[in-house]
Amino acid sequence: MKRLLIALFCILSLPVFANEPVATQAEATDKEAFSPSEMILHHIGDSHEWHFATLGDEEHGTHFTIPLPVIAYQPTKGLSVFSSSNLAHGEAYNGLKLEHEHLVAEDGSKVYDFSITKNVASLLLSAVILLLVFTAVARGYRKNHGKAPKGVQSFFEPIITFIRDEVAKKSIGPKYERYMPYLLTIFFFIWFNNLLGLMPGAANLTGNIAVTMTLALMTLVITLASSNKNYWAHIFATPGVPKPLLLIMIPVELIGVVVKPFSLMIRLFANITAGHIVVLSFISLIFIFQSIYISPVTLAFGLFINVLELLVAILQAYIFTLLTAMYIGGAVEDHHDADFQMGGGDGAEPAHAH
Amino acid sequence: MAAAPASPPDPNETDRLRAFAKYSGLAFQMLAILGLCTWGGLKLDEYFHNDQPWYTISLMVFGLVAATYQVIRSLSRNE
Amino acid sequence: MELITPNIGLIFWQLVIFLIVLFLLAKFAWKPILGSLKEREDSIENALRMADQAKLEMQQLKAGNEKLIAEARMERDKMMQEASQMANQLIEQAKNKATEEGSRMIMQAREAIQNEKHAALTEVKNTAAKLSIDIAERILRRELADSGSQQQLVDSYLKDVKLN
Repeated sequence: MKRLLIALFCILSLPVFANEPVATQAEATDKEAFSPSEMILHHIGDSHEWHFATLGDEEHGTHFTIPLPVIAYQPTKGLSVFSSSNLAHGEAYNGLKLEHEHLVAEDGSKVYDFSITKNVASLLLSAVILLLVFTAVARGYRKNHGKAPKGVQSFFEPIITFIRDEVAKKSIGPKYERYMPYLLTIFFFIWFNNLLGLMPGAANLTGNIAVTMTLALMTLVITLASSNKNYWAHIFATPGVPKPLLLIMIPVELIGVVVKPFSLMIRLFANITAGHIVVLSFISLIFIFQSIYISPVTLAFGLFINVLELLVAILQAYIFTLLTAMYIGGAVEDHHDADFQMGGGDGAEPAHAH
Repeated sequence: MAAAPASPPDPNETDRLRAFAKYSGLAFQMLAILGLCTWGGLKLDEYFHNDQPWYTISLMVFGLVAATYQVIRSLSRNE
Repeated sequence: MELITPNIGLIFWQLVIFLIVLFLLAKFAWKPILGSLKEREDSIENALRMADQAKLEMQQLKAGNEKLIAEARMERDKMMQEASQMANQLIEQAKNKATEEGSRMIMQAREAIQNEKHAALTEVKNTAAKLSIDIAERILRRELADSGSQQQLVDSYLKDVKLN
């Protein structure tokens, strides 16, 4: 059953991700018509206000919106902090205005936007939830000391031991203990934010490239910081490779170092964003066909994908954590058994290194 | 999902999940290498105003070699 | 393109908040959780090991007991064997002694009989010699008186002798 779902997810998500915005591009130019691509991009993108719902039409209806603080830094003017409600409907404030959710200065000078956007707010919310949940779990351990786990503690305990035994111990080896806090935090951070992203009206945090990039960069930094001599020896002097070939091998190996976290970043971003796009596309179908009769079908599909996304949420968190652990494991590994099989391919020099 | 407390999955299932993650990771890695190389090549060609996209082509070939090498290396490492 | 352009503000906040969460969770959640998980696993392992040890000890104890019993049995067998041997020996000894005593007594008796016999024979011989001398004396005396009666006397004495 699980494999079927995974396969289905693999087939479904990526092609739709590639096609959907293009297919609806033509409609987006028409101002009057409903534009699914604009709606979808708005939903998966970031925003300076937290918009939940609108009753009535765009112009005169009631908006349920929480304005969020804007924090802008301009090299010429310094720091300015104000509420995003000042910028609503394209108005300018303090020489700043919003252009397609981008904070720009009216005089065209450079602006660094450190606003508490919807994503940052959601990030803070998830941080609070994470802290509350896991301090509660830790309290459970103190209270039920030496006894069987109870309540929320018993729900998270198998997951924590799974990360420890199946991910950390198997991938990193005996030095796994140092990396446990990072692995557990990254797993639960991604999982919780994936789930939060599935809630109606919530931000698409883990489907934001800035967030996945930061996570991937941290993995890269930790991998490089914990790497040993072996790891670098393998990159700059791959055993069994003749000297002239090293000229090619070094960039190939170096690109591998960079690409590993890069693929982590792309994968999480693409999977979560694609999931959101699929759900939203199914819902958009109602408005595209302008028919209420299509809604049961699209809602059923949307619901199905949403349930699938619940699985994807934990799967992607697991994959990110596992691959992080594997990369760290590769960096702290003492020696590779496979070195000799690798180098002998060209036959120029028999693999009798060290 | 929250209804059934997650019981420790049986080792066979975990290994399969692990293998799935690993191999799909390899695929993503390959794609990422090719994508990065192509992107870099396009940028370089744009920067130097080349008539023919030589940078793109050569970097793509390089990316292909690098991706293949990375995959072979990851696969032959018996974990 | 908008979608895949990372926003500097979000990177900044993500980095700051994630690092704070990582630090706080590591200190207040992961450390105690992993600590008590490890402690519990250690205690379970300890208990299992102790149970194994106790089992081993029990086995050893049992084996020891059996050995003791076997030893006791062997000891008893040995003692009984020794006792019966001793008894046999005693009986043998007693028998030998008795036989010896008996034969010694028989020998003594035989000797005594022999001695008595000798003594008796000697006495008979002595008596016979005395008698003969007596008779001879008497005859000699009578010869002096009457020869007929001498003959008679000799005859009666001989008759006496025969009776003896």
